[in-house]
Amino acid sequence: MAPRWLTTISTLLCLLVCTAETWSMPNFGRRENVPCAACHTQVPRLNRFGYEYRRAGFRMPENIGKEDKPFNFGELFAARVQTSVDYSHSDNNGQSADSFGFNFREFTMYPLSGSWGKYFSSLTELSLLPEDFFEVENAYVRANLGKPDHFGHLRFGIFHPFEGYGASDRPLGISRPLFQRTAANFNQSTFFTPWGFDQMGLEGGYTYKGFSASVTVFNGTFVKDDDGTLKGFPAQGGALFKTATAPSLNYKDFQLFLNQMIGERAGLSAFYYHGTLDLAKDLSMPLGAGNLWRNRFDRFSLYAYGQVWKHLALQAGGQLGIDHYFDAAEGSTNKTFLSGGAFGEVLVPIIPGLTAGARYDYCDPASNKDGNEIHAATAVINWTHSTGLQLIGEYSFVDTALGAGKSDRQNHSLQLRMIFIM
Amino acid sequence: MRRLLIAVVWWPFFLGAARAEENGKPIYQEHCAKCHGSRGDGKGPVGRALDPKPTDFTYAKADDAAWFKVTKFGTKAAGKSDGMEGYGKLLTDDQIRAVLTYCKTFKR
Repeated sequence: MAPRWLTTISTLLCLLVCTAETWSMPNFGRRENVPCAACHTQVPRLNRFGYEYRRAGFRMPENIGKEDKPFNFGELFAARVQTSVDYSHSDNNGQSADSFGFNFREFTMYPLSGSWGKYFSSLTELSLLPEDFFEVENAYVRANLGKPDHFGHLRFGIFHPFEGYGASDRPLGISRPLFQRTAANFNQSTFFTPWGFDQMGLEGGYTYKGFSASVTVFNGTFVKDDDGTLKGFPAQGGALFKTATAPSLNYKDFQLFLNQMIGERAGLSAFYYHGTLDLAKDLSMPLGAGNLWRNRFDRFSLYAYGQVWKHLALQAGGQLGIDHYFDAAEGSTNKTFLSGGAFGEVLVPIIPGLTAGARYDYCDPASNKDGNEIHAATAVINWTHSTGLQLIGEYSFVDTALGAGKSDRQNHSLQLRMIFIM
Repeated sequence: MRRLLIAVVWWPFFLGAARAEENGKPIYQEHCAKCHGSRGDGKGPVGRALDPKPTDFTYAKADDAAWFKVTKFGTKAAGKSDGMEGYGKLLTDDQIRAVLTYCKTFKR
């Protein structure tokens, strides 16, 4: 039997050769017959036009309300496969560990993704992963109404939390800033992270020239035992829903997202999230009606992005979090703690389709608790070809404080991710 | 009489050119304006993000052969950067000529 790495490489090469004739643009590029650079600074990050194109329902804003083109399967369907080569070295309290391997990451399908009719659009992102058989990352319908420079939208379904320009909902590399993926933690994990939960929600938004605002009501998130480990899940529906005895069952999460373009190549974003999530009072006991309490939490974030020169762009962001915690001694859930984080990133477009970047991260899961801060430094190289092949190389160093008297846990990781999208 | 004869002989050519320009306009608005701008100035909503910028037809010197090649096969086939995909699969040669005739009307 052929080694897995050989199978991976040969599959990618076959896809590249077989689809080279079609230029292998994703469905939106096929629809508009434009290159990747029309919408992207560096795939998958959007430029201003790409951001507005998406908010207008995957159509040119001036086409809102105009008769759509005849149905074309290639303009409404895309697919993506991701594999990687990974190396990791960690030092934890004097003990080190290494790992190296080839990994199949995911196969993602985007059926029925694009605009249809005069006012509607949809995006479905369905992923097959090794550990979870099936994941719904996006499955929504959007309706747009208005003029090219001022239009509104309604969106319903499952979607990523924001479509930020200054925030940019996609990193240049693989990993996101720490505060987007690290839960606040005073005496237990609060599980919620601004990114990572593809929630079911209803959103209304308005775009006026360079300014856009979105207000979203979400079903929220919940925690359950997953093979002996507590994990957070989005309440998407079906099996992924809060139990009938959950204290937060009828509470909804709320989100406000504001974005202001500054010229063609810069933007500011502000993000506010208010949510509730049921946590355990006693972690040694099973989750259940008598062992749950409702954490009310808030997240405030600011982001800025700007391309200051042809070969230099900068991005930075910061977040402040407020959570409640359960004080077992007093039986109280009224006390709060703060969390926060920030990052600064430098992006260097080298040539069209090739960008390098570096980011410094800081995250404090609980500011009133010493010895739990996290620092990270990340270096990235991202290359995208017009055939749909993308290579991302990322080195990351993460230093996690483990409390007084303990050495920090340090982790070095190197990943080469291979992506093919058509 | 001589002038009448000339007019009779050349009239179809002038009429054909006018029709090409007229036929080219809707094709241009549908396929080209997004990058080259509705007024042919290279300032379409998509074009502003591209580097190099789309051709500005308001001052560019017309080159029928080069423009036809780029329009049909793309900029890369013409030895330029990979900025514009060819439209040879979407448009016939006659449609391409019609839209290029229309592009010349932008010239100041």
